[in-house]
Amino acid sequence: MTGSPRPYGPVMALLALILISGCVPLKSTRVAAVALTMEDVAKGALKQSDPALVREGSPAYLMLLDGLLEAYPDNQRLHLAACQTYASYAATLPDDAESQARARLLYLKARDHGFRALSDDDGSSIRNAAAGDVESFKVFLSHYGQEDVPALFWTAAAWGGWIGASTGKPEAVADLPALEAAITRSLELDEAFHYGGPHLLMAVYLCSKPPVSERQLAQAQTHFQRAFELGGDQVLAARVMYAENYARGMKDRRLFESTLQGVIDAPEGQVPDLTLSNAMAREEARSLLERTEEFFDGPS
Amino acid sequence: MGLPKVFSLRRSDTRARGGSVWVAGCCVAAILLIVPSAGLCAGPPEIELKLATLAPENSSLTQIFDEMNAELIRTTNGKVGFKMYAGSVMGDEEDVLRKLRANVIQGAAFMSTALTDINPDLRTFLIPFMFRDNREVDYVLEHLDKQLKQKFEERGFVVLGWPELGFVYFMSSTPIAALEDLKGKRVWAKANAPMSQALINRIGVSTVAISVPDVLMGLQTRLVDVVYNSPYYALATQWNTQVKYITDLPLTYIGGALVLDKKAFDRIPQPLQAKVREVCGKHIRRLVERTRKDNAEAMEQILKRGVQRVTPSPDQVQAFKDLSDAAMNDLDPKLLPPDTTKAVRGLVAELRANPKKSP
Repeated sequence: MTGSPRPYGPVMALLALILISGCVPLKSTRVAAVALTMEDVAKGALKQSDPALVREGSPAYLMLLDGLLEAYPDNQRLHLAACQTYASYAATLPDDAESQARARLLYLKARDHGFRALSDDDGSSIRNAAAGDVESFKVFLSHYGQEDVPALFWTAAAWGGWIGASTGKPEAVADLPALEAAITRSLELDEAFHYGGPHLLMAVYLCSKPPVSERQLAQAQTHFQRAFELGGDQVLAARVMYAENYARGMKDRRLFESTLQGVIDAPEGQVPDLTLSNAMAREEARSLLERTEEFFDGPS
Repeated sequence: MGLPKVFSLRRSDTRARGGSVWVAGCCVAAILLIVPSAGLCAGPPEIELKLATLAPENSSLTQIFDEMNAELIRTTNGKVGFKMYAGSVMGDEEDVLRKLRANVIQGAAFMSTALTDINPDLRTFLIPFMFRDNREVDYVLEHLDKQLKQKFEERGFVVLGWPELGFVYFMSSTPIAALEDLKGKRVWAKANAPMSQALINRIGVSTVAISVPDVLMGLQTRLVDVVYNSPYYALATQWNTQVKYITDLPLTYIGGALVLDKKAFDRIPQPLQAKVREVCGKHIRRLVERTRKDNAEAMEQILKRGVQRVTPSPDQVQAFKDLSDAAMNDLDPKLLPPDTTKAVRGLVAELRANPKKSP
């Protein structure tokens, strides 16, 4: 990790999830003995309560994944793991321009691994479909099924990250409809994936899609609430996203503060695999709370 | 979990309410974000000017403003700098103008009604089909720069530069090459846009008055057939996904201004005032270049993703222009000052007669 004034990007928590599902594909394909070891590393990381340790170890994990991909370039499940890990790591980078330029490249790499995971070719079929008109892309996406949800979901998360880190560049802004189509398809296929992850993606997207209106924020609220139902009270990162995106969008300072304070005060969860994710969510909640004045206290 | 920073395109806000004269694009200028964007300084400058913009955090504008601020603080040895508030933290343009007049903030980047409220001369730039391209805009602005700034100063504001949203184009479900193509179509009527309204009235088409956030749905449900926006904002709002054609004819130019409250500016020591003008002027020119590049790239993306370009013939363009000129004559002189209109028309004609003249 690079040292930074704001070491934990909002989405830190991503890392946790990524690791969760990253392990499963590896095991099933048994690409190499190393893969099995990596799976254990990933599993262990999920239960880790020290985010800094995982953060510092991530680049090494990424290099190992790259090495495996050199050996097995057509393995879609490895591409999925790489998509998740690169996106998660990019999300941990700080907000300054230089780091974001780097994050942008990492997100793009993550998305391209996601495209590979969703293709039988080198990813060009889905890339070309996404770059055309959105109605054709929706037809393209309709061919994916339940088994593609992990790759669809993580590709969408990486894609959104790339757009967000692109400071309004037209080539990225132009992808918004395709991104929405991908999120919509993952919602249709499995709304409950990753504790309601597709609902969270859609909720965050709706809080950002220009021009944001109250109606759109109300739709985002519905998706957040459904994600909370599906994830129970266990997933603290979902609440952090709610505060950061919805409460800020509504200019509801009280909701912002109470939600984040709730995250900080939440009891240790019952799900060991959420230990890391929740620890990161608490860090993020503290960091956001410290910036409350900046978000809400414009001169009035 | 999943994402956060994933979408730092974060919030938007459209607040087109209050009426913008600066036609379409601006509405969406209001797009997005909210948050004060982080300054680069360590510790506040001695004279800290609060500056508001409706542009979203994480946009070209806030990025370049951050760089502008860093240079300003550096070159004034920490004496002068901005504290920026991006997005709708301060409300819409009317709210921002009110706060500026009340000295709650000391500066703002306006792209809409606030400017023409302060100085109606700027409405001349909004006359439909007045300019063919950026070169003509630059030529006129260069020549009228002093005069326009002078009027702002008389009204208590110092102009530090002229940012822009750029040209607005027709986008439609059927090809619009000529005036006749608009007949029978439902044309979007942006709220409080007297110039475009006058033109639309003259054409005699039926209009649909819906707010900016409703336009996308309006296109989907065929409530409206013809809309207009800058390529960049059309792309950002995804209007391009619901239209089939874009008319390659600059409809209206939408400009803006970075203004400071004159009393606040006068409190800055004289030699530093020149620095502020120089640094801000330089970065606003950079911003204009970036905006033009973004609009050009956005146009490419729109065409690449399935929208077809419609190119009117010179005669068809002339017919649009003649009708617009007639419509402008109907407007109240207080709304559209005739002297300035004449001056702008004269400068455009001068450049067209001597194309080698540079701005």
